[in-house]
Amino acid sequence: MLSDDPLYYFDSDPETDIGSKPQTGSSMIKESGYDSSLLDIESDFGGAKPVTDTPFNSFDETESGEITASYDDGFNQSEVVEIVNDQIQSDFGEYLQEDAKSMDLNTVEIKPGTEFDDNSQYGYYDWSNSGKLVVNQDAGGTVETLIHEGLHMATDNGDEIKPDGEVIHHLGIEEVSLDPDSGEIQVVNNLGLNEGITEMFTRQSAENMGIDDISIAYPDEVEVAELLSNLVGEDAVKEAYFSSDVEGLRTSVDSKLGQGAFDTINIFIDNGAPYAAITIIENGMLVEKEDK
Amino acid sequence: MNQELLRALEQEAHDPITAGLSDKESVQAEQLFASLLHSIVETIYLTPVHQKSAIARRTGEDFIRRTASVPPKDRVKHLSKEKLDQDIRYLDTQSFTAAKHILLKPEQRESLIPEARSIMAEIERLKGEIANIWPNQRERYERIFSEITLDCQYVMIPTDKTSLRLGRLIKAGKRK
Repeated sequence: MLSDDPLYYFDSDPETDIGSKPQTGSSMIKESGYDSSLLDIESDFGGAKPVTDTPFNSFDETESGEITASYDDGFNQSEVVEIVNDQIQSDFGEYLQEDAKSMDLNTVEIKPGTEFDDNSQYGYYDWSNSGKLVVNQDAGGTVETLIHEGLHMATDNGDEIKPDGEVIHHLGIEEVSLDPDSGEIQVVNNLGLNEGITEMFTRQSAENMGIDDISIAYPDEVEVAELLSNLVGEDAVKEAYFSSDVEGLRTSVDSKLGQGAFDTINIFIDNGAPYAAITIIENGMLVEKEDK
Repeated sequence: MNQELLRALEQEAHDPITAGLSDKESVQAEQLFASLLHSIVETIYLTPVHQKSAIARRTGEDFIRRTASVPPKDRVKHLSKEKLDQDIRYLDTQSFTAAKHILLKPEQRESLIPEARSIMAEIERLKGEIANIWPNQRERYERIFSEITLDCQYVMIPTDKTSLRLGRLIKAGKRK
């Protein structure tokens, strides 16, 4: 959902009435801060550990012996991209559409961190070069970024023109409404959940590649995606995601949680309210008298 | 109604949240919990869905239950981590919203530059906080920070470089 209200509330009073502005941003952060005496927190984070080095070296040790993308040897970009493409094909091939796109050096470039403005950046799209995906080989999580973006490319199922002329571009379960003439983006639906599903599958593929320290992206969205996957079954999620069958997933979710649940969950995720999305998944749609 | 709900939830939370904690820890836990609860409930009320009151109440109750289920010795640091995540989540949402806004309405860039700068400043401050207090966790958040930073830079200055998430949207709008 695109907001027409560019308010960010950084100067709001922490005591502000709840009905006006979110108590977030700097005022909220500074209000209580973090107590350094409380910070033996390593065990709290659970799940994946932080990435501390590039994972490329692990490719040298695969059984086939065909992988030569060693970072130490000065890796070959095309081989790295090919390895990631192959992993996506291996993990999800049965669900991919026949015309699913894959990455190549026309669409992806891997550069050392020294060539980035900020060498902690993971990657960006370069519109001075036809929208090429540029990934930082030194930031950590390079392979995860490639898998994630490779999945997005593989699930770019193109435009659908509705009978009324409306144009919908399908990216997995994300739906981007476009102006039929200009291609200008009008409305975006299901973006957060699509990211969560993409990252959930990214982590699966990264694990299958033997990467232990998987870097983190979209943690809230992944949690919601995993809960939904547990609810309706991972196969149902894969079928919907790879073929952009949003209606199929909506029907599955609503049949379990009540009519409107799928859309409500997505609206909450896209508006930064993952707790509410999780509550709907765990409790189903809720009813109150004044909203009937 | 919002204030009534918040007061009711805070009262409901008092005993389970502070059970097993020292006086000092109880104060810390309640402060962090209240801050998080306010943010959670407010975000729900600002979201365009039906049944907000019921969802807000149940979400608040679930949050109380989840927090109370954390062992007392870990509860305050658990809430501290929840608060860090919540703060980053807020900045993440705001930066992407701003970048999408500029994508559609680049003529409004000037009005959003102060907000983008504020977000960048907050991210830098949070990076410093994490580096100081959770140095072994910094890289955990770098992918999120990378996207936030690129979105803010896109808002502040016309550039050919976009975050990965914004770039995907732009690609979707490109006619084949």
